[in-house]
Amino acid sequence: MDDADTERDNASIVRARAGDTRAFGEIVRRHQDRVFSFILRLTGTRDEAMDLTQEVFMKAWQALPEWRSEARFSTWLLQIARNLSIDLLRRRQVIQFAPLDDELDIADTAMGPEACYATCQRDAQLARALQRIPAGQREILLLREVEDLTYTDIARTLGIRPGTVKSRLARARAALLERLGRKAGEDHG
Amino acid sequence: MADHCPRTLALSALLDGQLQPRQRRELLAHIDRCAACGERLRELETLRSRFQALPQERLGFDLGAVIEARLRVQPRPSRTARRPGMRWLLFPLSGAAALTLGLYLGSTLIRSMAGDMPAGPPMLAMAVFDPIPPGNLCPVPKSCPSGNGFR
Repeated sequence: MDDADTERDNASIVRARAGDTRAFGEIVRRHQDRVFSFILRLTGTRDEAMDLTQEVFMKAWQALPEWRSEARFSTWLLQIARNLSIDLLRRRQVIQFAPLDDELDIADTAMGPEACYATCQRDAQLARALQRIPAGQREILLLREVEDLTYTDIARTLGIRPGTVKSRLARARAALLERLGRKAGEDHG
Repeated sequence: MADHCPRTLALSALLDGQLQPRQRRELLAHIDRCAACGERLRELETLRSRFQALPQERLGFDLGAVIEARLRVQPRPSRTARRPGMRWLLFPLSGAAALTLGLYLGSTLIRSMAGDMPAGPPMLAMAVFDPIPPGNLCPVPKSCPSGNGFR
């Protein structure tokens, strides 16, 4: 998101805080795909991700008076999305044990079957590998690599110290590379 | 284990631009000499590009309209209603109210037992345990309180 988007968000938030539901609807439209995509990649199931995305925005509406402009609104939304997703994963009790089925709901793109074959295969492989690492590693990778959050924003979103972000990210990357098929990590330095 | 490789931590930080200039120079110099570290850095870069190439998943419908419809029947968010700092007041207030009500009800019971209760036959309930059940003939007329030979 650029500065113009941020300003547009802030203007809509002011109106939404005054009770303007249409202004909040505009906010939802701007962020719905990003939030949905994040939740889907974190939880791995489309139906649950759809429900959770709706829940994220209902919670955001309720908590809107508590939002402070020091935090970027999009990051704040991801924080709510992350917390709800982790709750869901806890309820499923798979927080450490990723599903081993290959029938993930991810990588359902608009491309035709032939055009997307190679790309879809690669994306699906990455999605499967992501689902097979612990949720704590998955979420930090998504926040950094997909959402492009800074270390400070990641720390705020996850409620950890910035120093922990560095080590947790390194472990997550190593784990994912290992899942993707390389025997990684020998101490060769 | 990948976790124990010290280079992974440094290379990951290098990828994110999180190293101090001196650390960065030293690590880049090391990478020039170390094929394994160079390979590892390329893997991390490839991983990043694969993430960035992932298509954004689409929700596929106008969630804004759905949320707006739900909000029309929901009360407006209120700053004061959700202020966590005031919530703690509710607990002692409700506790005090419950205690007051309990004391009041307790005092009415004590009052009624002490004086408000109408005078009746003493320990009427204990008559059940008399040796002569109600309605039976008294063996000796004096032994019954009515004095008519019946209990």
